[in-house]
Amino acid sequence: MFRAFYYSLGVPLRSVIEYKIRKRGGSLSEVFERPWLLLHYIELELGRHNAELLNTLFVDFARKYKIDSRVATEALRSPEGWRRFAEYVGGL
Amino acid sequence: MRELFRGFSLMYGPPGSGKTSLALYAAAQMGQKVMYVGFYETVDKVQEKIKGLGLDLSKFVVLDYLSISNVDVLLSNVVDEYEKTSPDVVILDGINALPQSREAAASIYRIFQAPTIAIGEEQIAGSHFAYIADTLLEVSQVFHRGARYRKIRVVKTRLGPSPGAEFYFTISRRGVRIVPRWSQSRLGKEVVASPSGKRVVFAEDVAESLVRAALRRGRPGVTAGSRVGVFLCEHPICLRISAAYLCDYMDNAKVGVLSTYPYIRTAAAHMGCGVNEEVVPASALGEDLALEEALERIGDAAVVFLYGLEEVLHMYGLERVAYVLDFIHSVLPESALLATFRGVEPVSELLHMFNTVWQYFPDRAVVVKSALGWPVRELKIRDEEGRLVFTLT
Repeated sequence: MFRAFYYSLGVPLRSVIEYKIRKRGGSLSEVFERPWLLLHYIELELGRHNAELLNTLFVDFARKYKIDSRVATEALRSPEGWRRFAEYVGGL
Repeated sequence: MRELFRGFSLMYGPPGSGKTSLALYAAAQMGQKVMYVGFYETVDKVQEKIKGLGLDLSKFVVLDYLSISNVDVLLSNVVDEYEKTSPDVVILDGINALPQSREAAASIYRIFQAPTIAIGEEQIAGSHFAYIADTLLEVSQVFHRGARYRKIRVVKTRLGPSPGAEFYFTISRRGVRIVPRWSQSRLGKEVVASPSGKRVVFAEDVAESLVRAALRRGRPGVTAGSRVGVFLCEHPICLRISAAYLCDYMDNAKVGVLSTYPYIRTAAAHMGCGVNEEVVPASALGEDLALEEALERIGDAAVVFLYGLEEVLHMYGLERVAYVLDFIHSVLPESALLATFRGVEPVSELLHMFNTVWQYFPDRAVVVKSALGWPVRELKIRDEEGRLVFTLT
Protein backbone atom coordinates (compact mmCIF):
# COMPACT_ATOMS: atom_id res chain seq x y z
CA MET A 1 0.00 0.00 0.00
CA PHE A 2 2.86 2.33 0.79
CA ARG A 3 4.26 1.78 -2.70
CA ALA A 4 0.84 2.47 -4.21
CA PHE A 5 0.64 5.67 -2.18
CA TYR A 6 4.12 6.74 -3.21
CA TYR A 7 3.45 6.19 -6.90
CA SER A 8 0.15 8.07 -6.62
CA LEU A 9 2.19 11.25 -6.00
CA GLY A 10 2.95 13.25 -9.10
CA VAL A 11 6.27 12.81 -10.88
CA PRO A 12 7.54 16.33 -10.01
CA LEU A 13 6.85 15.76 -6.32
CA ARG A 14 8.48 12.31 -6.37
CA SER A 15 11.53 13.80 -8.07
CA VAL A 16 11.96 16.30 -5.24
CA ILE A 17 11.46 13.62 -2.60
CA GLU A 18 13.93 11.19 -4.18
CA TYR A 19 16.49 13.93 -4.63
CA LYS A 20 16.20 14.91 -0.99
CA ILE A 21 16.43 11.28 0.18
CA ARG A 22 19.59 10.75 -1.86
CA LYS A 23 21.02 13.99 -0.54
CA ARG A 24 20.70 12.53 2.97
CA GLY A 25 22.47 9.33 1.91
CA GLY A 26 19.28 7.26 1.74
CA SER A 27 17.57 5.41 -1.09
CA LEU A 28 14.04 4.79 -2.26
CA SER A 29 14.35 1.01 -1.67
CA GLU A 30 15.31 1.75 1.93
CA VAL A 31 12.20 3.89 2.30
CA PHE A 32 10.03 1.14 0.80
CA GLU A 33 11.43 -1.27 3.38
CA ARG A 34 11.01 1.20 6.26
CA PRO A 35 8.23 3.64 5.25
CA TRP A 36 8.54 5.77 8.40
CA LEU A 37 11.86 7.03 6.99
CA LEU A 38 9.92 9.03 4.40
CA LEU A 39 8.73 11.63 6.91
CA HIS A 40 12.10 11.55 8.63
CA TYR A 41 13.92 12.52 5.45
CA ILE A 42 11.28 15.05 4.44
CA GLU A 43 11.39 16.74 7.83
CA LEU A 44 15.18 16.94 7.75
CA GLU A 45 15.33 18.37 4.26
CA LEU A 46 12.06 20.25 3.71
CA GLY A 47 10.79 21.06 7.19
CA ARG A 48 8.19 19.69 9.53
CA HIS A 49 5.35 21.37 7.67
CA ASN A 50 6.12 19.44 4.49
CA ALA A 51 6.44 16.19 6.44
CA GLU A 52 2.98 16.94 7.83
CA LEU A 53 1.72 17.65 4.34
CA LEU A 54 2.97 14.27 3.07
CA ASN A 55 1.43 12.57 6.08
CA THR A 56 -1.92 14.18 5.37
CA LEU A 57 -1.70 12.96 1.78
CA PHE A 58 -1.03 9.44 3.09
CA VAL A 59 -4.00 9.60 5.49
CA ASP A 60 -6.17 10.80 2.62
CA PHE A 61 -4.95 7.92 0.46
CA ALA A 62 -5.51 5.34 3.22
CA ARG A 63 -9.03 6.63 3.79
CA LYS A 64 -9.96 5.34 0.33
CA TYR A 65 -9.19 1.85 1.66
CA LYS A 66 -11.42 2.52 4.66
CA ILE A 67 -8.47 2.61 7.03
CA ASP A 68 -8.99 4.38 10.33
CA SER A 69 -7.47 7.88 10.08
CA ARG A 70 -6.02 7.69 13.60
CA VAL A 71 -4.05 4.55 12.67
CA ALA A 72 -2.97 5.99 9.32
CA THR A 73 -1.90 9.29 10.91
CA GLU A 74 0.67 7.50 13.10
CA ALA A 75 1.80 4.98 10.47
CA LEU A 76 4.63 7.03 8.95
CA ARG A 77 5.72 8.68 12.16
CA SER A 78 7.63 5.76 13.74
CA PRO A 79 8.41 2.00 13.39
CA GLU A 80 5.83 1.38 16.12
CA GLY A 81 3.19 3.34 14.20
CA TRP A 82 3.96 1.38 11.05
CA ARG A 83 3.72 -1.95 12.94
CA ARG A 84 0.27 -1.00 14.25
CA PHE A 85 -0.79 0.09 10.80
CA ALA A 86 0.40 -3.23 9.28
CA GLU A 87 -1.48 -5.19 11.94
CA TYR A 88 -4.62 -3.11 11.33
CA VAL A 89 -4.45 -3.66 7.57
CA GLY A 90 -3.78 -7.38 8.10
CA GLY A 91 -6.87 -7.63 10.25
CA LEU A 92 -9.14 -6.11 7.61
CA MET B 1 2.24 51.28 4.87
CA ARG B 2 -0.07 49.69 7.45
CA GLU B 3 -2.96 51.62 5.96
CA LEU B 4 -2.53 49.75 2.70
CA PHE B 5 -2.75 46.32 4.30
CA ARG B 6 -5.80 46.01 6.46
CA GLY B 7 -7.89 42.88 6.97
CA PHE B 8 -7.44 40.47 4.07
CA SER B 9 -5.35 42.12 1.37
CA LEU B 10 -4.75 40.60 -2.03
CA MET B 11 -1.80 41.87 -3.99
CA TYR B 12 -1.14 40.84 -7.55
CA GLY B 13 1.25 41.70 -10.34
CA PRO B 14 3.90 40.33 -12.67
CA PRO B 15 7.00 38.45 -11.48
CA GLY B 16 9.77 40.70 -10.21
CA SER B 17 7.52 43.65 -9.44
CA GLY B 18 8.37 43.50 -5.72
CA LYS B 19 5.23 41.91 -4.26
CA THR B 20 6.99 39.55 -1.86
CA SER B 21 9.40 42.21 -0.59
CA LEU B 22 6.54 44.62 -0.10
CA ALA B 23 4.54 42.03 1.82
CA LEU B 24 7.48 40.98 4.01
CA TYR B 25 8.30 44.56 4.89
CA ALA B 26 4.70 45.57 5.59
CA ALA B 27 4.09 42.45 7.69
CA ALA B 28 7.17 43.12 9.82
CA GLN B 29 5.76 46.54 10.62
CA MET B 30 2.34 45.13 11.46
CA GLY B 31 3.24 42.54 14.08
CA GLN B 32 5.85 40.70 16.10
CA LYS B 33 5.16 37.26 14.68
CA VAL B 34 4.76 36.81 10.95
CA MET B 35 3.82 33.51 9.35
CA TYR B 36 5.01 33.37 5.76
CA VAL B 37 3.47 30.60 3.70
CA GLY B 38 4.97 30.20 0.25
CA PHE B 39 4.16 27.81 -2.56
CA TYR B 40 6.92 28.72 -5.00
CA GLU B 41 9.92 30.20 -3.24
CA THR B 42 12.17 28.07 -1.01
CA VAL B 43 12.78 28.89 2.62
CA ASP B 44 16.42 29.85 1.92
CA LYS B 45 15.43 32.36 -0.73
CA VAL B 46 12.76 33.92 1.45
CA GLN B 47 15.09 34.18 4.44
CA GLU B 48 17.70 35.78 2.21
CA LYS B 49 15.10 38.30 1.09
CA ILE B 50 14.10 39.06 4.68
CA LYS B 51 17.72 39.69 5.63
CA GLY B 52 18.28 41.68 2.43
CA LEU B 53 15.52 44.05 3.49
CA GLY B 54 17.22 44.60 6.84
CA LEU B 55 14.42 42.85 8.74
CA ASP B 56 14.68 40.75 11.90
CA LEU B 57 14.56 37.12 10.78
CA SER B 58 13.45 35.93 14.22
CA LYS B 59 10.06 37.58 13.65
CA PHE B 60 9.29 35.23 10.78
CA VAL B 61 8.07 31.64 10.62
CA VAL B 62 8.78 30.67 7.01
CA LEU B 63 6.91 27.70 5.57
CA ASP B 64 7.68 26.80 1.96
CA TYR B 65 5.21 24.17 0.82
CA LEU B 66 5.88 21.52 -1.77
CA SER B 67 3.72 21.76 -4.81
CA ILE B 68 1.05 19.06 -4.75
CA SER B 69 -1.92 18.37 -6.95
CA ASN B 70 -4.32 17.78 -4.07
CA VAL B 71 -4.89 21.43 -3.26
CA ASP B 72 -7.58 20.66 -0.66
CA VAL B 73 -5.01 18.79 1.43
CA LEU B 74 -2.64 21.70 1.00
CA LEU B 75 -5.23 24.18 2.25
CA SER B 76 -6.03 21.96 5.22
CA ASN B 77 -2.36 21.80 6.22
CA VAL B 78 -1.92 25.55 5.89
CA VAL B 79 -4.88 26.08 8.20
CA ASP B 80 -3.39 23.60 10.71
CA GLU B 81 -0.11 25.50 10.70
CA TYR B 82 -1.94 28.79 11.16
CA GLU B 83 -3.63 27.44 14.27
CA LYS B 84 -0.36 26.11 15.68
CA THR B 85 1.61 29.27 14.98
CA SER B 86 -0.98 31.90 16.04
CA PRO B 87 0.74 34.68 14.11
CA ASP B 88 0.03 38.42 14.25
CA VAL B 89 0.23 38.66 10.46
CA VAL B 90 0.05 36.08 7.67
CA ILE B 91 1.54 36.18 4.20
CA LEU B 92 0.22 33.72 1.63
CA ASP B 93 2.66 33.93 -1.25
CA GLY B 94 1.42 32.24 -4.42
CA ILE B 95 -2.24 31.97 -3.52
CA ASN B 96 -2.92 30.62 -7.02
CA ALA B 97 -1.65 27.28 -5.64
CA LEU B 98 -4.66 27.04 -3.30
CA PRO B 99 -8.12 25.90 -4.42
CA GLN B 100 -9.70 28.65 -6.51
CA SER B 101 -13.22 28.04 -5.25
CA ARG B 102 -15.57 30.39 -3.46
CA GLU B 103 -15.59 27.97 -0.51
CA ALA B 104 -11.80 28.06 -0.20
CA ALA B 105 -11.69 31.84 -0.40
CA ALA B 106 -14.49 32.22 2.15
CA SER B 107 -12.82 29.68 4.50
CA ILE B 108 -9.51 31.48 4.50
CA TYR B 109 -11.23 34.81 5.01
CA ARG B 110 -13.13 33.50 8.02
CA ILE B 111 -10.38 31.36 9.57
CA PHE B 112 -7.47 33.78 9.27
CA GLN B 113 -8.33 36.38 11.87
CA ALA B 114 -4.88 37.95 11.76
CA PRO B 115 -4.26 40.56 9.04
CA THR B 116 -3.43 38.56 5.93
CA ILE B 117 -1.49 39.59 2.86
CA ALA B 118 -2.14 37.24 -0.04
CA ILE B 119 0.03 37.41 -3.12
CA GLY B 120 -1.00 36.08 -6.48
CA GLU B 121 -0.32 36.11 -10.17
CA GLU B 122 -2.17 38.62 -12.32
CA GLN B 123 -5.09 36.32 -13.18
CA ILE B 124 -6.03 36.15 -9.47
CA ALA B 125 -7.55 39.61 -9.95
CA GLY B 126 -10.67 37.93 -11.34
CA SER B 127 -10.92 35.19 -8.69
CA HIS B 128 -13.09 34.61 -5.63
CA PHE B 129 -10.15 35.77 -3.52
CA ALA B 130 -10.34 39.17 -5.17
CA TYR B 131 -14.06 39.28 -4.48
CA ILE B 132 -13.74 38.60 -0.74
CA ALA B 133 -10.57 40.69 -0.19
CA ASP B 134 -10.87 43.84 1.92
CA THR B 135 -8.12 45.45 -0.10
CA LEU B 136 -7.04 44.71 -3.64
CA LEU B 137 -3.67 46.05 -4.72
CA GLU B 138 -2.09 45.94 -8.14
CA VAL B 139 1.69 46.06 -8.13
CA SER B 140 3.60 46.85 -11.27
CA GLN B 141 7.05 47.62 -12.47
CA VAL B 142 7.40 49.97 -15.40
CA PHE B 143 10.53 50.85 -17.34
CA HIS B 144 10.34 54.17 -19.12
CA ARG B 145 13.29 55.66 -21.01
CA GLY B 146 15.64 53.43 -19.03
CA ALA B 147 14.30 54.32 -15.59
CA ARG B 148 12.55 51.86 -13.30
CA TYR B 149 9.31 52.72 -11.50
CA ARG B 150 7.59 50.43 -9.03
CA LYS B 151 3.97 51.28 -8.41
CA ILE B 152 1.12 50.16 -6.17
CA ARG B 153 -2.42 50.93 -7.25
CA VAL B 154 -5.33 50.55 -4.86
CA VAL B 155 -7.96 48.77 -6.95
CA LYS B 156 -10.47 48.14 -4.18
CA THR B 157 -10.63 48.93 -0.51
CA ARG B 158 -13.06 48.59 2.33
CA LEU B 159 -10.75 49.92 5.01
CA GLY B 160 -7.81 51.91 3.62
CA PRO B 161 -6.99 54.66 1.10
CA SER B 162 -9.38 55.52 -1.72
CA PRO B 163 -9.59 53.22 -4.72
CA GLY B 164 -7.52 54.50 -7.60
CA ALA B 165 -4.81 55.90 -5.35
CA GLU B 166 -1.40 55.17 -6.80
CA PHE B 167 1.96 55.22 -5.07
CA TYR B 168 5.54 54.72 -6.13
CA PHE B 169 7.58 52.50 -3.87
CA THR B 170 11.20 51.53 -3.66
CA ILE B 171 13.02 48.42 -2.45
CA SER B 172 16.55 48.38 -1.11
CA ARG B 173 18.59 46.78 1.62
CA ARG B 174 17.23 49.51 3.87
CA GLY B 175 13.74 48.17 3.32
CA VAL B 176 10.69 49.19 1.35
CA ARG B 177 9.54 52.77 1.27
CA ILE B 178 6.49 54.41 -0.20
CA VAL B 179 7.42 57.47 -2.23
CA PRO B 180 4.48 59.87 -1.82
CA ARG B 181 3.78 62.43 -4.48
CA TRP B 182 4.57 65.93 -3.31
CA SER B 183 2.00 68.64 -3.24
CA GLN B 184 2.01 72.18 -1.93
CA SER B 185 -0.34 71.04 0.80
CA ARG B 186 2.68 69.40 2.45
CA LEU B 187 4.47 72.71 2.93
CA GLY B 188 5.47 73.36 6.50
CA LYS B 189 5.25 76.79 8.12
CA GLU B 190 8.57 76.62 9.89
CA VAL B 191 11.50 78.28 8.14
CA VAL B 192 14.25 75.64 8.09
CA ALA B 193 16.99 77.83 6.63
CA SER B 194 17.70 81.43 5.64
CA PRO B 195 20.68 82.72 3.69
CA SER B 196 23.19 84.91 5.52
CA GLY B 197 23.01 87.71 2.95
CA LYS B 198 26.81 87.98 2.79
CA ARG B 199 27.03 87.36 -0.94
CA VAL B 200 23.49 87.94 -2.20
CA VAL B 201 21.17 90.54 -0.75
CA PHE B 202 17.87 92.28 -1.50
CA ALA B 203 18.06 96.05 -1.79
CA GLU B 204 15.87 98.18 0.49
CA ASP B 205 13.26 98.74 -2.23
CA VAL B 206 12.72 95.00 -2.64
CA ALA B 207 12.47 94.44 1.12
CA GLU B 208 9.93 97.26 1.40
CA SER B 209 7.93 95.84 -1.44
CA LEU B 210 7.73 92.53 0.38
CA VAL B 211 6.64 94.19 3.61
CA ARG B 212 3.95 96.12 1.72
CA ALA B 213 2.65 92.85 0.37
CA ALA B 214 2.17 91.80 4.02
CA LEU B 215 4.60 88.92 3.75
CA ARG B 216 5.94 87.87 7.07
CA ARG B 217 9.50 87.93 5.88
CA GLY B 218 11.42 90.65 4.13
CA ARG B 219 14.22 88.33 3.11
CA PRO B 220 14.26 84.93 1.54
CA GLY B 221 14.24 81.66 3.38
CA VAL B 222 12.84 78.20 2.83
CA THR B 223 10.20 76.34 4.81
CA ALA B 224 10.04 72.65 5.76
CA GLY B 225 9.09 70.42 2.83
CA SER B 226 9.25 73.27 0.32
CA ARG B 227 10.68 73.17 -3.17
CA VAL B 228 12.30 75.91 -5.13
CA GLY B 229 13.02 75.51 -8.81
CA VAL B 230 15.94 77.54 -10.11
CA PHE B 231 16.44 77.91 -13.86
CA LEU B 232 19.90 79.20 -14.68
CA CYS B 233 21.08 80.74 -17.91
CA GLU B 234 24.20 79.28 -19.52
CA HIS B 235 26.23 82.43 -18.77
CA PRO B 236 28.87 81.95 -16.02
CA ILE B 237 27.31 84.82 -14.04
CA CYS B 238 24.21 82.69 -13.45
CA LEU B 239 26.35 79.94 -11.98
CA ARG B 240 27.97 82.55 -9.76
CA ILE B 241 24.56 83.71 -8.49
CA SER B 242 23.64 80.14 -7.69
CA ALA B 243 26.95 79.50 -5.92
CA ALA B 244 26.55 82.71 -3.94
CA TYR B 245 23.12 81.61 -2.72
CA LEU B 246 24.46 78.18 -1.84
CA CYS B 247 27.27 79.68 0.22
CA ASP B 248 24.90 82.07 1.98
CA TYR B 249 22.67 79.17 3.00
CA MET B 250 25.71 77.18 4.12
CA ASP B 251 26.62 80.00 6.49
CA ASN B 252 23.43 79.43 8.47
CA ALA B 253 22.26 75.85 8.00
CA LYS B 254 23.29 72.29 7.28
CA VAL B 255 23.14 72.00 3.51
CA GLY B 256 23.43 68.91 1.31
CA VAL B 257 24.64 69.24 -2.27
CA LEU B 258 23.81 66.65 -4.89
CA SER B 259 24.93 66.98 -8.51
CA THR B 260 24.81 64.85 -11.60
CA TYR B 261 28.35 65.97 -12.49
CA PRO B 262 31.06 67.99 -10.67
CA TYR B 263 29.41 71.32 -10.96
CA ILE B 264 29.25 73.80 -8.18
CA ARG B 265 32.28 73.17 -5.98
CA THR B 266 34.65 75.35 -8.00
CA ALA B 267 32.14 78.19 -8.34
CA ALA B 268 31.40 78.00 -4.62
CA ALA B 269 35.11 78.09 -3.81
CA HIS B 270 35.33 81.36 -5.74
CA MET B 271 32.54 82.68 -3.54
CA GLY B 272 34.48 81.71 -0.44
CA CYS B 273 32.89 78.49 0.76
CA GLY B 274 33.89 74.83 0.65
CA VAL B 275 31.23 72.45 -0.65
CA ASN B 276 31.10 68.71 -0.14
CA GLU B 277 29.38 67.80 -3.39
CA GLU B 278 27.80 64.36 -3.75
CA VAL B 279 27.99 63.43 -7.41
CA VAL B 280 25.53 60.86 -8.76
CA PRO B 281 25.76 60.58 -12.55
CA ALA B 282 22.45 60.96 -14.35
CA SER B 283 23.00 57.49 -15.85
CA ALA B 284 22.74 56.04 -12.30
CA LEU B 285 19.48 57.83 -11.55
CA GLY B 286 17.39 55.35 -13.52
CA GLU B 287 17.55 53.21 -10.36
CA ASP B 288 17.12 54.26 -6.73
CA LEU B 289 20.22 52.78 -5.14
CA ALA B 290 22.82 55.45 -5.99
CA LEU B 291 20.44 58.23 -5.00
CA GLU B 292 19.60 56.53 -1.73
CA GLU B 293 23.27 56.02 -0.87
CA ALA B 294 24.07 59.65 -1.66
CA LEU B 295 21.22 60.82 0.57
CA GLU B 296 22.52 58.63 3.35
CA ARG B 297 25.88 60.37 3.09
CA ILE B 298 24.18 63.77 3.08
CA GLY B 299 22.29 62.98 6.28
CA ASP B 300 19.64 65.21 7.80
CA ALA B 301 20.29 68.43 5.89
CA ALA B 302 17.90 71.34 6.34
CA VAL B 303 18.27 72.19 2.66
CA VAL B 304 19.36 70.03 -0.26
CA PHE B 305 20.69 71.81 -3.34
CA LEU B 306 20.36 69.76 -6.52
CA TYR B 307 22.42 70.54 -9.60
CA GLY B 308 22.38 69.14 -13.11
CA LEU B 309 18.69 68.23 -13.22
CA GLU B 310 18.68 69.23 -16.88
CA GLU B 311 20.56 65.98 -17.53
CA VAL B 312 17.87 63.97 -15.76
CA LEU B 313 15.23 65.81 -17.75
CA HIS B 314 16.91 65.11 -21.07
CA MET B 315 17.79 61.51 -20.28
CA TYR B 316 14.59 60.28 -18.62
CA GLY B 317 11.94 62.97 -19.05
CA LEU B 318 9.71 64.93 -16.68
CA GLU B 319 8.40 61.92 -14.77
CA ARG B 320 11.89 61.07 -13.53
CA VAL B 321 12.59 64.61 -12.39
CA ALA B 322 9.40 64.52 -10.33
CA TYR B 323 10.31 61.06 -9.05
CA VAL B 324 13.81 62.13 -7.96
CA LEU B 325 12.34 65.09 -6.06
CA ASP B 326 9.64 62.89 -4.50
CA PHE B 327 12.23 60.27 -3.60
CA ILE B 328 14.41 62.83 -1.80
CA HIS B 329 11.40 64.17 0.06
CA SER B 330 10.40 60.64 1.07
CA VAL B 331 13.83 60.27 2.72
CA LEU B 332 14.05 63.85 4.05
CA PRO B 333 10.45 65.05 4.39
CA GLU B 334 11.34 68.12 6.46
CA SER B 335 14.11 69.36 4.19
CA ALA B 336 13.69 72.09 1.63
CA LEU B 337 14.87 71.32 -1.90
CA LEU B 338 16.48 73.82 -4.25
CA ALA B 339 16.53 72.18 -7.63
CA THR B 340 18.67 73.76 -10.30
CA PHE B 341 18.29 73.40 -14.07
CA ARG B 342 20.75 74.95 -16.46
CA GLY B 343 19.81 75.99 -19.96
CA VAL B 344 16.21 74.84 -19.56
CA GLU B 345 13.04 76.93 -19.84
CA PRO B 346 10.62 76.78 -16.89
CA VAL B 347 7.76 75.17 -18.80
CA SER B 348 4.40 74.67 -17.11
CA GLU B 349 4.93 70.90 -16.65
CA LEU B 350 7.95 71.72 -14.49
CA LEU B 351 6.34 74.54 -12.55
CA HIS B 352 3.90 72.32 -10.68
CA MET B 353 6.81 70.47 -9.07
CA PHE B 354 7.74 73.60 -7.08
CA ASN B 355 6.12 76.15 -4.85
CA THR B 356 8.57 78.84 -5.92
CA VAL B 357 10.38 79.18 -9.23
CA TRP B 358 13.16 81.60 -10.10
CA GLN B 359 14.79 82.18 -13.43
CA TYR B 360 18.19 83.83 -13.54
CA PHE B 361 19.62 85.83 -16.39
CA PRO B 362 23.04 87.54 -16.35
CA ASP B 363 21.51 90.88 -15.30
CA ARG B 364 18.13 90.04 -13.77
CA ALA B 365 16.14 87.49 -11.82
CA VAL B 366 12.51 86.65 -12.53
CA VAL B 367 10.04 85.24 -10.03
CA VAL B 368 8.19 82.86 -12.35
CA LYS B 369 6.01 81.40 -9.62
CA SER B 370 5.57 82.04 -5.92
CA ALA B 371 3.19 80.20 -3.63
CA LEU B 372 4.02 82.83 -0.99
CA GLY B 373 2.66 85.57 -3.20
CA TRP B 374 5.78 87.56 -4.02
CA PRO B 375 4.62 90.80 -5.61
CA VAL B 376 7.80 91.35 -7.56
CA ARG B 377 8.12 89.61 -10.87
CA GLU B 378 11.46 90.91 -12.07
CA LEU B 379 14.52 92.14 -10.20
CA LYS B 380 17.71 93.64 -11.51
CA ILE B 381 21.01 92.21 -10.37
CA ARG B 382 23.90 94.54 -9.57
CA ASP B 383 27.39 93.61 -8.54
CA GLU B 384 28.48 95.85 -5.67
CA GLU B 385 32.08 95.08 -4.71
CA GLY B 386 31.64 91.36 -5.15
CA ARG B 387 28.23 91.29 -3.51
CA LEU B 388 25.19 90.62 -5.67
CA VAL B 389 22.34 93.00 -4.98
CA PHE B 390 18.80 92.35 -6.19
CA THR B 391 16.97 95.61 -6.76
CA LEU B 392 13.84 97.02 -8.36
CA THR B 393 15.66 99.79 -10.20
